[in-house]
Amino acid sequence: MKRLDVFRSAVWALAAHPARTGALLLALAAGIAATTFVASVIGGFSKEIDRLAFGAYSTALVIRENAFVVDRHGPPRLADARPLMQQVDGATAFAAWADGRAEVWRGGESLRFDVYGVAGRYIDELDTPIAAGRYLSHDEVGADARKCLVGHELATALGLSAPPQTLRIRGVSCEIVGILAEARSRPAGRYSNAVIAPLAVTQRYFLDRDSLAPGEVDWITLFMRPGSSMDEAEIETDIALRSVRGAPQSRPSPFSYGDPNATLEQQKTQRDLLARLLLTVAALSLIASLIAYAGMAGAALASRQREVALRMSAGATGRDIRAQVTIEFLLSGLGAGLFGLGAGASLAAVSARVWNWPMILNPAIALSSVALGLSVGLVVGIVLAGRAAGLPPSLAARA
Amino acid sequence: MNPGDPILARVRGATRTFPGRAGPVTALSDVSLDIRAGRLLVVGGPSGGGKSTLLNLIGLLDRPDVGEIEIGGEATGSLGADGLARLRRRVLGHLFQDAGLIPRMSAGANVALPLMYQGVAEGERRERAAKALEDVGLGGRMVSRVEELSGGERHRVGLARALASAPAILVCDEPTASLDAANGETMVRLLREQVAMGRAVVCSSHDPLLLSAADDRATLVHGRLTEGAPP
Repeated sequence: MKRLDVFRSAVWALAAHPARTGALLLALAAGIAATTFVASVIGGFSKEIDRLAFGAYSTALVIRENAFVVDRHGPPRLADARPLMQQVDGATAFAAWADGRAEVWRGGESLRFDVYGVAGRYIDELDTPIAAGRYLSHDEVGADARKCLVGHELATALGLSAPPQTLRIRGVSCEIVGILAEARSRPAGRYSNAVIAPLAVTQRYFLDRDSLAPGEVDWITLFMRPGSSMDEAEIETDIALRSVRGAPQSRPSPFSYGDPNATLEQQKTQRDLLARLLLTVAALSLIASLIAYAGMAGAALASRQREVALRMSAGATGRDIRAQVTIEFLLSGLGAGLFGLGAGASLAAVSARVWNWPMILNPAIALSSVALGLSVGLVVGIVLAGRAAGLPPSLAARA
Repeated sequence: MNPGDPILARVRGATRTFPGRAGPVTALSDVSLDIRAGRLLVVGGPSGGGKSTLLNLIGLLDRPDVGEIEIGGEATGSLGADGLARLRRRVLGHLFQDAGLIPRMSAGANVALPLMYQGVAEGERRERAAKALEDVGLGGRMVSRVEELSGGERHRVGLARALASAPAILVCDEPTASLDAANGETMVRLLREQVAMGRAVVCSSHDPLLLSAADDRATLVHGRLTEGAPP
């Protein structure tokens, strides 16, 4: 028997019983769809949790002065940022910040708020969209421009609407170029009752503190490439910073590194628990669908015993029967894999849209879904093909 | 029985036992007979006498527990399942009591089935299937599905399938049992035509029409040959 004929016979057998083939396909596709859905959702869901909980800090290192050591070398300096960018593997950008408090009088009442001076690529760390106006440009942040952004809570309290407007802080006017909307993440919430202005201007006019010398900042945020090891980044940063500041490597570090991973790990544990729970449910669905598929496949073959025997009476060898049945189930497994992948991905896309989190369907998930369908089809096919080939041809004579 | 006709199949001392609730049931006991080219052998006898079991053995759909079946001069006892399948496809054609067509398949595809397992190319398969259907008077039914055929037509398609691969031996289990008189007559005529072409035709039947058309007769009662065709 020719290979093409084996393939055609297998396709005919599937097409001749559309209801049975459809049910068989659906049984396996349901399990594959569940696992594809869960895998896609877990990826996007995890990313969203990180974003909501940590904002830009999920892949950033926050460098501050370590106030608990004897050998102090002062706070980080804006000038430290450049060597760090060059020496720390995976560093993509930085932002330097100084902060303090200020107040304005409005209608006989004092309104207290935070003032942040910033240099570098601050927008990522701000992680807050603009409600009106625009962000401070890179040039404005680097220059001495007395321009600022106002958080949405402070803007409401001050009755500010669309910029440009002017705000006086400590007697010095500042042009408001943008009003921030609500924060996208929890850490970014601190900017809602705040003014953000260029670092140099802020230190010169708006901060009422003398603890920072010119060029010194409260913290530097070093943004790392996603997927970088934060532990390694911290070690490299510390070595580089000590070298720049002349601090001996043998002594406790004069700098602290806000390790977002520490809290991230805690969050990760909870998230992983949820992921494992979802995966368990998906695995159970898959097992149930495998049992259903195998059972239905067995029943389908049992109902075709006479057909198999008639083929044998017409001269089919055991090899012919084995090849046809194996290909039949391989095709049904492939169909179930593709259908399951489509259904799972569509479901994940709809869920992502409804619940507003990113859906991640990477090629590995897609390939795994199809490979799973093919593998199940192959295993079930081989087992049932052996059974079919062992049927007695005399069944053909039983009406 | 004409001793001059070549023997195409021999059954020697064939015994076949099946397991039963009250112990083994002997369906066939020490049966021996020869099947000759150009002869119509009809095996008669009461129901449960062992006719279908004998036909299954001759048609290589089953094996005897004891005894030997020889087809085309080849002893089958030492052949494996695939060896029997190859011999079946080369020498034998089967017509089953209910025609034994594969449902949902076209008449043409059913007829072409043995040719497919012989490795015949698709175009030739189609031609030979069409010719076989024409020979049984169903030239226009090539693409009709089995479900669209009448009982008589199904039997004729079954016969066309059995003949498509031009077998030397045609094994027919009760070929006229479920047919009306007219279709029964047609079937007998078609079988006689095969005999006239030199084929050996072995049928089980109670049908007086078929029995009267037989060249040789054998009767099986309780699994034993009580009449006809001893070697």
